Amino acid sequence: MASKASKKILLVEDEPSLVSMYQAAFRNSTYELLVATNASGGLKLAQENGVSLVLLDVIIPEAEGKVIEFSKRVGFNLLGRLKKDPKTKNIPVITLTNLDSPEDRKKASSLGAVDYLIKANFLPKEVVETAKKVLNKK
Amino acid sequence: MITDILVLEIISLSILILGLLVYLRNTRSILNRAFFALSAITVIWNNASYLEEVLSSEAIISILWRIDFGVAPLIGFFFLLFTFNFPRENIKLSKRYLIFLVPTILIIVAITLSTNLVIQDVQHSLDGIKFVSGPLYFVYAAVIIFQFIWGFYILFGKRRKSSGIERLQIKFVLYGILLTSFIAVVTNLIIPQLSEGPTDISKYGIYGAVFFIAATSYAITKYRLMDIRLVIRRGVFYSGLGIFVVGAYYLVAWSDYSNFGGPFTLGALLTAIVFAPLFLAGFVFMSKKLKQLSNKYFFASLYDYQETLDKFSKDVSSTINLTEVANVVVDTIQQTMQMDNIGLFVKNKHYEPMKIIGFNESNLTRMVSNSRCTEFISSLKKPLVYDELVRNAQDYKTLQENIDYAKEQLKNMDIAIVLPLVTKGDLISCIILGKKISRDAYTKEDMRLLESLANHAAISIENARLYNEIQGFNETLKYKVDDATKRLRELLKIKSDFLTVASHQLRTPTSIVRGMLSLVIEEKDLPNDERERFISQAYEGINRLERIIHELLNATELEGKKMQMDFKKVRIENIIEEIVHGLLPLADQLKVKLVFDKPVRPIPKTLADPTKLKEAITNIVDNAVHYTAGGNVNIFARRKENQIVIEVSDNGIGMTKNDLRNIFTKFTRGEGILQVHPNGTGLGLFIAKKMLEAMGGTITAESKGKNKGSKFTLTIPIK
Repeated sequence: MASKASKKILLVEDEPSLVSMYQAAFRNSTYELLVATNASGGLKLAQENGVSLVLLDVIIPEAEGKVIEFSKRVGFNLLGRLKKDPKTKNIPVITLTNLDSPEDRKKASSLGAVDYLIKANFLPKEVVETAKKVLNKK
Repeated sequence: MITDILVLEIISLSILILGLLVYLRNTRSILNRAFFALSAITVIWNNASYLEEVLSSEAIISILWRIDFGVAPLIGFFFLLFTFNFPRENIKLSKRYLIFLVPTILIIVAITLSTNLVIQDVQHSLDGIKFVSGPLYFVYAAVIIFQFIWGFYILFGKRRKSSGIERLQIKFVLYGILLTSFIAVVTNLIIPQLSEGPTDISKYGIYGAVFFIAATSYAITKYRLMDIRLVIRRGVFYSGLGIFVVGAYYLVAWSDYSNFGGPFTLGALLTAIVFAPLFLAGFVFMSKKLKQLSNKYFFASLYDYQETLDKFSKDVSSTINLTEVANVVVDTIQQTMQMDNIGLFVKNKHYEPMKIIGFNESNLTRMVSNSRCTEFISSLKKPLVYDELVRNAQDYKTLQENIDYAKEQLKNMDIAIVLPLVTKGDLISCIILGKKISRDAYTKEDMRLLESLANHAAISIENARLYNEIQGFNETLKYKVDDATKRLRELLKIKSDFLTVASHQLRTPTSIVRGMLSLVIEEKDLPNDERERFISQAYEGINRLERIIHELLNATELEGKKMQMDFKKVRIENIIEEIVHGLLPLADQLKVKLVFDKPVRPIPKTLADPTKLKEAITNIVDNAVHYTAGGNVNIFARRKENQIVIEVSDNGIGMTKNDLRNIFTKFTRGEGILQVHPNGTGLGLFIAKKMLEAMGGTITAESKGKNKGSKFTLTIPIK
């Protein structure tokens, strides 16, 4: 079974209500949930904290206070950077987003994401389940 | 003495040939005949005048001196006749003077020959003869001198009145004859009468004729005097060929005799086989060269009519390019007829120059574009020759003033021909031709060729032009299609962007609602305060969802069709008060001081859609409140002339220049507002602007910069 040492999961999500929701969902799990609300914060946390899994929203601002630009898909940009950085390239990433198009799905998988979850379709509990599955597979 | 005689005969022969050529050129013209008579009689007189000095037989001399003195007045007479009709025949004038001239001259000649009143005696001596003058000598001399003076007076007068080629022709003839006659008169009439002068000076009078020959020949060659160049040209050509044939004959004859002893020997016959082709080749070569030579020096037309037309047809139909067609046309005409100046114009709305050689392009274009000239040229159905225009102005169906103007313009620019190119009855092009280099007139043959070329060229130019038009259409079409395709792609992208954003915006609150409620339902041991929090956040999510749906539908409606407006009389202050009242709880929550600065004087009611107006203003005030946490939001309304002005100012996070640029477009939110008002779709201001504009109003935003607050100004017309 999973080790008792709490694995860290990084949630990159800018919507406050959703953050609280997932925090509540992961409360009962063995995992420690770290939260970043923008890409640069997310990158930093991933590099420094030895996270085991990243739940990545795609529509996020680049940094605190910056405007969100839909067309830029900043989350994918962050995904690319994570996969390039030797410190973080082996961390599995699950795309957790409300974008649903074949292009976005393809992009996520080509960048190395292991799964693609639509927030509106997955209950918080189900997200936790998926995270567990991915971590156990490792 | 031999040299003297040789010179005399050479000069005599040249004068005679000159006169003969002129006569042959036009046997019926008085001018040509007078010239011939003048030349012939001058030759007779020259010979008589010389021979009487050098011969010794008294009997012959007595005939000679009679010829000498009898013929001299005739020279004057024919000279006068010549000047009456030079350069153009004037039979009336001639007849008028001849009536008294002829009898006078005849009487003088008769007196001279049959009496001794003029020449009293002829004395023979070793140095020659000497004439003793009689009482009427001075009359005799005076008549001759008078004739010459009169003739020169006429020539000078004509020279002054003429211009161009004519003037040059007259000049040369004048000076040639003047010099000649001056020398002749001095050596024959004046010096011999001086007691100390040499007595045989008169034989040198002939040398003066050299000037006459030189001047006249020059005028003939360069200025087409008497137009005998064609005759000379043929003469040169045939005599050259003749010399060649004769030379070849003598060559063969010499070879036959010196090598074989005679022309009928075997050797001679064999060499004839060799000579024959050589001779033929030489003959062909010589005739070509001679033709070129005589053409070159007598500037005759070089072209073969049919060959020119054939080549032109081939060249002009080998291209569809308008510039190339113009080049072929202009070059063919120029090479064929040898003129310095030529210009081709194509008529679209105006005459546009296609190729101009020699003429000053701007001057020519200006002349052609002048409305009077344009009208005149456009009415031409056949080529216009300037000389004909001058003579037959009444033949042209145009206003007289236009004709006069055109005449003047053509003369100023030295234009000889205006050639219209007509297809299907419309003039599509015109070619302006200057005078030929040789100063020759354009012959009938030239005109026929020009008309043929014009017809061909008109068709080619029309084709080229149509082709150009089609090219132009194709390009325009391609451009429009590219444009439309680009636009379509843009629209598709906008649509797909919109869908992406819309679906994302709808899913976000959906995920919140579902997620929150699922936690509440699933977790059995959820602390109460947490459960309540989740439920209220779910509720908040549903509200948000509703707002987003509303905004999206509004924005879609606003996209295409005109908004449905429900106009009623509204009072602005009431609406604003309602809005403020509705937003007070939010303001409290965000610690914002929201104040409506009500105007002292009531603002008149105006026609507007109350619901939409309220929504628009709400969006703006809502924004202001959300982005001014802990600050102030002031609403100010007043009447300004025929408009109502509403200002919503805050001291909140302000807007950057970039924000201000994009603020009213869909889906943009200012920088740095994310933490503050994450629920906005970015459509609020876009919707507000559309609504206000549909009511005839405007909305603008200002901000001094980040964190320096913003001010939104709305205007609504008073109706």
